[in-house]
Amino acid sequence: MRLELHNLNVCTHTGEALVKNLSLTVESGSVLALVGGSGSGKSLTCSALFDVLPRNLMYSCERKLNGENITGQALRGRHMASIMQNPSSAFNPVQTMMHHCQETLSAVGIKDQSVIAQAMLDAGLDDWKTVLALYPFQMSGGMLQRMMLALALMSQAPILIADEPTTDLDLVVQRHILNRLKKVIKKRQLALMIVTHDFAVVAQLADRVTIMHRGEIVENTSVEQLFVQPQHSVSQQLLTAHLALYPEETHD
Amino acid sequence: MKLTLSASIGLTVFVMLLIVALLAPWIAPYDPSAINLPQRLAPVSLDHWLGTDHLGRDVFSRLVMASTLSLGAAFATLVLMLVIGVGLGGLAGYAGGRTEQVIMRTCDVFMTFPTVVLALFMVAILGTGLTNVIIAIAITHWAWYARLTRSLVLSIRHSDYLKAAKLSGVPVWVRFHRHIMPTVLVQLLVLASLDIGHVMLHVSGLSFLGLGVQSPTPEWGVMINDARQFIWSSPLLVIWPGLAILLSVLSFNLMGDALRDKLDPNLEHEG
Repeated sequence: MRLELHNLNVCTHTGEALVKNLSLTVESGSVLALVGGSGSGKSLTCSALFDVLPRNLMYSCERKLNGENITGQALRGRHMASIMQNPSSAFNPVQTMMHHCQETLSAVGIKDQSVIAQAMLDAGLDDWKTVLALYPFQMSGGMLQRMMLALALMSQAPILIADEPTTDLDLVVQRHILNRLKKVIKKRQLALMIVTHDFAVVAQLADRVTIMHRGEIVENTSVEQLFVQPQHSVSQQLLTAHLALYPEETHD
Repeated sequence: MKLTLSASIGLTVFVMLLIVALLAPWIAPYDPSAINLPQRLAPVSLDHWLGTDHLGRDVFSRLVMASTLSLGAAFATLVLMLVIGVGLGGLAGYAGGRTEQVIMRTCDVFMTFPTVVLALFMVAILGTGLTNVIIAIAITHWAWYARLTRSLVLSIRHSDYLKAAKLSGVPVWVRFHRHIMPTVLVQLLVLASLDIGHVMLHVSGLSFLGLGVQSPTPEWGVMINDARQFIWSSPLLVIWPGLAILLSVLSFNLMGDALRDKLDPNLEHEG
């Protein structure tokens, strides 16, 4: 499975360009990290991929799934699932997890109920039977984020888009979720595009890294190259800023 | 579920009214239109529990038969208002942009007119009759429902869980009926239950003015109008239908209050 996004341009109706000529590729079994500071257009890129940009923005792009043109709407659910950054508000507060599962399954036309258990186990919800009966307010942020991962997995979409999936969580839960994500991608041979500004996440998960700055791709490299030899000044700045957080680790 | 005193009174009266309205033909002891001139303006007695009116018709029978019409008209108006209000309000909230502007400004226009004045105007165009009164009241009231629906739809429309549903490929009508309607309907139910009393007052009021139900047909507003000429000699004739209107509107309002206390998440629950 190979998803390509070509020549994405997003601008406001006043003509201000927010994303310029962006192209990227996500492939099964590999993780692409989209990195950049706030306002660099990462989230806009994700929204454009799903064709859910705010209506006051204009954009143009070409999406190709395995070489064939496809619309954003056709991608949603069936080919591409999303993991959002705010687990606590991404669930309908008056519906149980079971309702959410059924909604997801019926949206993509899966009748087989056994995928629920599988996906939830893969997402690290071992006690899945209990969890299915819970309402969002009865669950912690970490559990909800796992549930979101489970929902994405049970739709059987081969491509996952995770927009800052760990920003709302504490470090321990972050680590758990990232480990899960890593394992499940290997196990199910999924493609993952992860949007983040956290280099720790990049280092742990990513195979390839795309650095964005002011709506443009400034560097496209492997994760090793990025940490050893960042080319662009923006990448260097981001990396320096990140390493400054861990002074004792930078000595060797 | 524990009910407060006012809620139980409201509910009891409402259920009784409903039973009376549904079983009216079997409860009424006399034909409500049977004229019996020798017995005219008879006082309260065992034969005529609430006396007779100026044409000798049994007031109790007329009161009972009128309940069907009054309640039915109120409910029909409510349904019509809900359909128009939810339809247009939902459209405005969901479509946004110019559609929303047009619908909401139309709402504003309708809300500036006092109900009775606009209803009088509508009846003048459409002609008198119960159906026209129902249409007139619905047309003057829908704007409130449209506004509430729009604001509720707006608040949910931008929620993350709706976005998540969209990203999972859930079709638009499923999103609407699964995530938006349940919340909207609960709030509308509260508004409607608080409003039904007003609607009933308007139906009876317009009939009293001779614009709705016409004279031989038993209706509370019509009965008050008929009895108006005899208010000094037989004041009870005005009081009975007035009391019926008072009781039913009161029960609706008590029930609406109770429903709001139960269902409105913005109110703090006591106890």
